[in-house]
Amino acid sequence: MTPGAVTVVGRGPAGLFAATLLAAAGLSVHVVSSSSGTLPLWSGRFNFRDWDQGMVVDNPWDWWMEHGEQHFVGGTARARWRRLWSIWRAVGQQLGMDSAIPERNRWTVTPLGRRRPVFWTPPWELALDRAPVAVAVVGLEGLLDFEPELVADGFQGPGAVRTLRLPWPPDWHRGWNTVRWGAFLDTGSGADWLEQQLVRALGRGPAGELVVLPQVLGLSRTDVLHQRLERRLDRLVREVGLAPPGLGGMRLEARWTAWLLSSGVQMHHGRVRAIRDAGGITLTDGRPVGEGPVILATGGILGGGVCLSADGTGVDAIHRRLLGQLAEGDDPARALQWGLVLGDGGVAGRQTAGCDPDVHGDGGAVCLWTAAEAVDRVVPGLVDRLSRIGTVEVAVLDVSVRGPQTHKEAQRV
Amino acid sequence: MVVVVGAGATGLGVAWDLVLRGVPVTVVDAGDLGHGTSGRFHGLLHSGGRYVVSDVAAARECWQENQILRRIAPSAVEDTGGFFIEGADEEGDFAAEWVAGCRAVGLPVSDEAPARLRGLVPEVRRDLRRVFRVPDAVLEGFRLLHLLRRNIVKRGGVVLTHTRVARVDMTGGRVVGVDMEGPGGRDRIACDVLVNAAGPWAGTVSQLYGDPIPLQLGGGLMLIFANRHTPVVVNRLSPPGDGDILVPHQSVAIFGTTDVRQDDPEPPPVTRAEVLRLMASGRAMFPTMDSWRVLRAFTGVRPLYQPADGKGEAGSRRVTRDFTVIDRVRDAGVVAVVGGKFTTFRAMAERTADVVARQLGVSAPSRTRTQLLEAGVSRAADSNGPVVCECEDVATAALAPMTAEPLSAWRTPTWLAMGPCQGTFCLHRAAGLRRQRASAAHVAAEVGALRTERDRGFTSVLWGANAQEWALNRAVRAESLGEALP
Repeated sequence: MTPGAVTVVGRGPAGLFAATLLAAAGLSVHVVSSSSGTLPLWSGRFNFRDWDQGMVVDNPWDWWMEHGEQHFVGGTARARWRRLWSIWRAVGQQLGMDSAIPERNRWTVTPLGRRRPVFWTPPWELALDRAPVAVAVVGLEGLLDFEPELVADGFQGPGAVRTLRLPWPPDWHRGWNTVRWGAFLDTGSGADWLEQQLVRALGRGPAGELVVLPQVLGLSRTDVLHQRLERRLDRLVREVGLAPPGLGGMRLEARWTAWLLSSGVQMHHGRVRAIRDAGGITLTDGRPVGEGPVILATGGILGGGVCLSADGTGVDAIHRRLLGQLAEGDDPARALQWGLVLGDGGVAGRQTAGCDPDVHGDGGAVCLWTAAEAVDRVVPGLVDRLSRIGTVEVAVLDVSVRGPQTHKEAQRV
Repeated sequence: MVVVVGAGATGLGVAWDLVLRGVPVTVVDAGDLGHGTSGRFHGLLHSGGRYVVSDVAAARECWQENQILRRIAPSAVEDTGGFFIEGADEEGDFAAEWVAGCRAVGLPVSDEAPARLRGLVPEVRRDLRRVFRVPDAVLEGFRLLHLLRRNIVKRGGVVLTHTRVARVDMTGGRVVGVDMEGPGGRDRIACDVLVNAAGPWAGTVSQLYGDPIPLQLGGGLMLIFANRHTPVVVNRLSPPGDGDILVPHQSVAIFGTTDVRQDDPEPPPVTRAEVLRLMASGRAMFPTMDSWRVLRAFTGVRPLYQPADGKGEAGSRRVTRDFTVIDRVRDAGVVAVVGGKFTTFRAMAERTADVVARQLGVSAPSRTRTQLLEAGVSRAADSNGPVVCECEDVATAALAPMTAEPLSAWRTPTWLAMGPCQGTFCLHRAAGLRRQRASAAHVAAEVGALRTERDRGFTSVLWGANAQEWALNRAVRAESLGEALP
């Protein structure tokens, strides 16, 4: 029997995605969380599968077809992934981030100047499929999170790379972090300042030059500023995601939460003490919250409430169960294997079901998959039936999946 | 010219003593300042109270040096005071013996009401029989080492880190020079006297000049907790043993220590079993210790001189029971100094320098007892410019003077990457500053080395909030910064 209401615990990407699916299907949804989710940590990108034993995965679609069996994905991986990314595309569009779902991994650079694969990004974030003919890496004086010389190291290749640094803005203070920079560039005077400085510093530049900036282009007026800069400079402008706090993730969270609230989802704040037999949960202060079946989307960091003790014992703090024991000399990453599997008392999130997204680069995809699985367990068939997210129709992707041969060749590159 | 091997407290202390006597000195160390025992202690400036029963001479010397260090290095000493606490379950009457010992040594000790200590340290055990106050203090070890270097260099001495002694040139049974390998390649220094102050590596160094020193090495484990927990040093009042001292340091607290025999001069790996043993003794003093947020664990190695006959031998003088100056071979120009405590480093250095001065025919007396170690720029000036490390409030102004040095050398003078995030949220900023002076490959290697160094002390204490911090740090490094995980 389909429940009329569902309670989701956790408001990271998995929790918000679960709530989105449920709300889009017309269910009454409650989201409970004790803190902000993990979205503000990241740039807002969703990766699919980046690495396989240290090698870059070129085509993640094929990778999952080939290796999905060893993970939580069964033989239906191709159709399921196509479905989930199609829904994600629609979510992005609904939230004003109209980015296509790519056929292959692309690449980006990090603030440490490392080149790394990347799959889906919001429109403002750097994601390339080939080396640009020319790049201008533009830093901001006083913003140490983005040193142009260091970032430029990630652009080795045939294209010309130049580095520039804009001077301090008039009100700059040594305490300005990325969030403060974002707030400054949300203002009219901040946007004017950036535009003027960029025009002056960049000059005419080579044809087809890509302008790379740190991810500080505002929090709430990013789209306006981004489009204005691209028009004025007559170049592509892209941001590089920085170390936390990540403005890209904060933008995504703000838009997503606002849309969920406007869709009737109820957000509650508090720490969960127990899941109620009658539906919903009880908070530590005794308040009953929510109704219906409960989806735990708490598997973000150290998946699903794994608690480690000094003696190496791991306990599932949600269900109060012993998970395992680290022996002397064990790699602590073994504890990640204890992340709860879906099913009885299952948990959704990037680090559940034995996934290690920090090694494999599949955190975004794992969030989508585990959240969708959790939703399907509560309302069977919901994910396959879903035809629209808000006002956006779910258009099923046409992704041409190549054979494993291509995939192996690409790995050697 | 005197070459001193070892840039720990002892080696730098000897060099400081000698430059004050007008003797030219070069200090060499294979690692960074204090990468050995001096950088790996609990940071207690002993009053001597710990030794008044077991080693009266050491206790007396601690109390003397405690007073001297407060005078000559005020910027590296925090006068917290300390307490010795006796639980209701301690057997025998150690306290009476201890109080008598304090009197004999001349250590000012006052009998306090247990309630007074509980007012200061609410987390201390409740069933206290007796509580005594002593003039313990906190010694900021790295700050003192950097003070010593600054003052040595100001007076013409040279301190070379990451420089290894490859060969000692002995001609006619006498040292005439030293071959070194450093970042700039191989180099040679002519010298009249070689001082072996290499701590746990003193045995290795002694083989280079053909007079092997027998050492007994003991590894000790310490835990750093992420909060201060106490404004005063707290010692357990019982014969010195494992896990009986808690020392507040700025915003953290260090609890120690253990003592396990070992052969390797390198700090031993942290084992879970030893951590649990240390936590068990900690709980006996602070019942809530299990719930304290742990930050990292580290080990240090104590070197002790261990001659075959168990006492001294010809040519060696046991100055007190815990440190030894060795110049066994007449006129070889080699002096070794082994053992001791950070608290008494100046006295060790003075006596070693006396031997060196005699060999050189220098008659100037030691002046380290009264000469102030001058602090450099103020902390306030250091805080100019954008913030690099939020945990420890390190700004670009503090790092600017060291951008030509590898990232590993930025840590101890400034406390960069020493806070709860262990550099996860700031190392890329430091790398950006470093990139202005070094190649991409150098920066990448230095970032990797610093991560490895920090992780060593971090991954061994993964419980509670620290486990979550570890998982978060791992995610940030892999996801946001694109680093390869070990």
